[in-house]
Amino acid sequence: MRACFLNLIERLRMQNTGLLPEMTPKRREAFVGYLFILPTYIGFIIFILYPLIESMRISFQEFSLLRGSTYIGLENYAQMFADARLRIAYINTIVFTIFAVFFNAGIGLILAVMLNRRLPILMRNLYRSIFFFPVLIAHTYIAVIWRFLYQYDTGVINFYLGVVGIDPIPWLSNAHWAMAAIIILDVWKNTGFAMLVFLAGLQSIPNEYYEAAQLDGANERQLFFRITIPLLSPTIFFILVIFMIGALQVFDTIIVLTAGGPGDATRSVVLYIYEIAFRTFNMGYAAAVSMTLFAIILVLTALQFWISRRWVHYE
Amino acid sequence: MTNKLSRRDFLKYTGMSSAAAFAAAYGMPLGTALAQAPPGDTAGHLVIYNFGGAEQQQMIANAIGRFNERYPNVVVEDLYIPWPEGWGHYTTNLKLRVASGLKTDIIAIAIEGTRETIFEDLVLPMDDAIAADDELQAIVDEVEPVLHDALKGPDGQTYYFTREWNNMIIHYNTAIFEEAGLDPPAVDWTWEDFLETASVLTHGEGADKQFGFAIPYFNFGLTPWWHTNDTATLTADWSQSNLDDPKMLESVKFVHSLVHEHGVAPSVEGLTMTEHFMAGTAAMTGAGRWPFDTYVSTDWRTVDITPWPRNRAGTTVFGSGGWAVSKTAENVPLALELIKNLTAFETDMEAVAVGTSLPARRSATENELFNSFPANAHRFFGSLEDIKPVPSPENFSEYEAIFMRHMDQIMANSLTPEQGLEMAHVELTAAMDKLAERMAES
Amino acid sequence: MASTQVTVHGKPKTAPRKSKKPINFGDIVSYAILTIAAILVMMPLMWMFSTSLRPTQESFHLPPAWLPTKFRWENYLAPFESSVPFVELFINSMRITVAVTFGQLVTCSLAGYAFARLRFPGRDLLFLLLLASLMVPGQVTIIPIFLLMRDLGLIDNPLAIILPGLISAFGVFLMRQFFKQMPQELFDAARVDGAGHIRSFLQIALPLAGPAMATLGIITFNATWNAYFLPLIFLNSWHKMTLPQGIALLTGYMGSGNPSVVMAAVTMAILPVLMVFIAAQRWIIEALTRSGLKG
Repeated sequence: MRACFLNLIERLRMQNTGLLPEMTPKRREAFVGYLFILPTYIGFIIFILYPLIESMRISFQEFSLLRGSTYIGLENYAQMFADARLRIAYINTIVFTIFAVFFNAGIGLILAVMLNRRLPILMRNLYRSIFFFPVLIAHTYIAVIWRFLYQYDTGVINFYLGVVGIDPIPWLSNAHWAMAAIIILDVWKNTGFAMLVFLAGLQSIPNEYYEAAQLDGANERQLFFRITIPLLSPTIFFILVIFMIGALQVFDTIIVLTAGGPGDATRSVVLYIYEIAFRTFNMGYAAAVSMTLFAIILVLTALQFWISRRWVHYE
Repeated sequence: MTNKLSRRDFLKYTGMSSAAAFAAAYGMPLGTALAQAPPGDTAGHLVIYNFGGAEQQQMIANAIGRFNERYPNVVVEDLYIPWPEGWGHYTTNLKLRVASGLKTDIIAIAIEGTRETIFEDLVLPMDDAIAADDELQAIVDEVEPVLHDALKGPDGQTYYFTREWNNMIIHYNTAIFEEAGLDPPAVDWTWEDFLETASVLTHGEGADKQFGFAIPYFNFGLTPWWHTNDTATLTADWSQSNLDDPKMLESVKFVHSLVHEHGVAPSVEGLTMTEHFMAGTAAMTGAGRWPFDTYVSTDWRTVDITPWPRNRAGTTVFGSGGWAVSKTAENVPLALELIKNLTAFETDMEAVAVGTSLPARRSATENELFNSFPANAHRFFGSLEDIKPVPSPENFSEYEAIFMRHMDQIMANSLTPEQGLEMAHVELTAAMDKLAERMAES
Repeated sequence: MASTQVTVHGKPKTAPRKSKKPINFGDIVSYAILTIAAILVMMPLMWMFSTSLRPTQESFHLPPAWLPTKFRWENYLAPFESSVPFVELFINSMRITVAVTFGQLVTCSLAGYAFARLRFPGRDLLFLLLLASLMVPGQVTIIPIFLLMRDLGLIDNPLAIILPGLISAFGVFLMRQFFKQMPQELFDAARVDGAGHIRSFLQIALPLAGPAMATLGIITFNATWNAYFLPLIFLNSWHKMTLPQGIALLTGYMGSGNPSVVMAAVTMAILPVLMVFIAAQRWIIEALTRSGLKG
């Protein structure tokens, strides 16, 4: 099929039918470039950019699906400053982001470093698959399982804690533990992705570096901090950015396990946006809040890129 | 059902021939078109916006099949939302459809969403149509009045024809009661009796832990504790917060004490009450008829039902669902003919067979199929003598979110019952005031 | 293919760290920790599987049974005997998932190649703009998208899920990183042979991009297969629904469904993803290794 396509292009070029007009190499390169990104950009404009601009417009409205909307200027944005629940949602989101990014990246890195040691190949492949497997399972399915594990009185985790003499923990019914429960579930589900990417990064570090350092008498710890970490820094940076963007938009993990509760103890910003939009039906305010979240993620990501220049080493 | 007549067989059976037999036996007119009904060769297309489980869908498909026998040229499309994540999502989706001009002829909704759809002008008032059509009048007359009235608008008009309903009633494990040497609960038992029974049934540690009661922890499931104390979360007309009522505080404290003081109920963490009850880690729970479907399919028969324990009152709660004609329906008489099939006695009989909810007509329960299991199945309809609908204001989703969020904090001991109810009262009062403003505007 | 890899990279395939020392204490500790971690990760899934084979009344016994104690395979038949048309939902899900995965592979490889290897005015700006779309929370754009789908006449049509799924900023990012890693000499050589940009892409870049395509493929397949929110809003007809909607039906009103049957259905729903992952595993690891994902 590819050959057929190539043939066609060849013929078109020979006949110069106008589809691939005669032009300078530079212009042709640009032409092909635009042609290649065209499908993606058509989709991007229709399904991302346009809805985003529409949401921005809605954020300046008192929006009603059935009764018509009215423009109210910046009122929705002003409302945010007085919204105590939004403040809690932001604090929760930040707490979640810090811990989830730290543990997902940290545990993922530790697992990857261990898997990168000399292991029987079968063992490495098996463990790698096991650690990655939870990434593939939908949140809705996972929640069914974990709700059972986390039960206070009859849950599996508390049962085993009891066996070793630890008092039961109110995982889902205590404001602080509920956040811990969410973070643990998130790490269980997602650290495998970080592990996989780190492992790939580790395996692309040439052995010669280690061998040279070992000849100089470096010990394991020095090897790790002087060679592994600096050479892995682009990968670490990638993981931090991707996990941060994801964590700031956390929704699935929470809605299936605690739905934001107890109270507002685990309500993230996106969960709060969802509530305003689909329970209170205040679509305008929901749009305004999501615009601020978008702006904050944008700024934090830019900040990460800026800081990265000081610690990320490219070869 | 005890003699292994499976629901599926029953549905197939009723779907084909016995519908007519049942109808004949109960003296129902079958497909006798009245003067105003569209002629049988009418062609058209009807879209139903609908919710529920798979078995209900089959039930509705059968009703549509019967409708198509009369109107073979009408295509009926049954749009379907699986058990909605919340009524807010369901109504938002409905509003999106209607606002987008997508064809919607018949709307199904639970009581929680009726007031909002009426307020948003999505459904047609039916009083005139009922007055002009004996068949519709007959359907209204056959349904239990309290069920029909609960779905009416604030103006007293009928908008919805009753679909199925559920109450809250105590489910108890007869095997555990027997083992403990306890008599079945008395039908007029009190909160104290209940607490005593639950305490006796609570014992063991770790793997052997058994609780007396698993709290049905969701808005509808908690409501009997308010109603049996002669109070509710909202005032009688559902227009203002009633959370400052001392009787509400008393009720909430009682529910809180079941977990935190008496330890007779496992701590509340999501919808796990059916699991606890079926696994035997709780001797009692509260539910409507919906879990019976699972009890039967897993052949678990040691369950019976008994009324909710009373304190100041013997009132429990119910929720019902209904069918309405959409304001955007193109052929209203045709839609009404389909609603007649959807609310027909045959459909009620199938609801009895499905086992997830109660039929709108008492007459549909006067048979072996309904009464064989649980032994006291008659108590479902018996509860209608003293019952109130679940408070369902126009802003139900918002109201529910406010109340349950504070209830969560009370049950998690983040707030005392006093603090929690006071904060909820302030927030709910503001929300209800805003609603009143919005309603005055339109 | 294996031989091309070596030549393409001009250096031997990177292997895990080798050390001439014999197995030491650190290795043993690593084995132990990895084994414990693997067991911890697997336990919830093992519980799910063993529960799916037990009678409901025994689902929640303590201590929990991690391995199947009973084999009630009829729990696996129950979803098909229910009124949920599982076979149909499975086919619907598969159709949407395959279309989206295939479409994304085409659009993302094209755009990824352009952003990585072609020069054109505004390239970096256009790329960053695309990347920024990763930061838009999807919960609010849903209403404009619904109204758009209405205008396109696509409500209750699988295309409403497929069309927005055909592009992916993450996918473009991933493919771009991969194409960027390829040595320039390869393309220079092709240029000397008179190949144009389209031919370079089809004949040089694409055949070497298999691992990256496999990675993107599994991620997209998984995300589409598991999607619940979008289908819930756009697909309401009984015969157009997808598998997650069917499983939501099984869980019943207020969670009153039979948990063993739900677990069995979930186990079956996971199988296709697991199979695709196992089939593509080797390629995925290679892709991630070689792209290095360096900023």
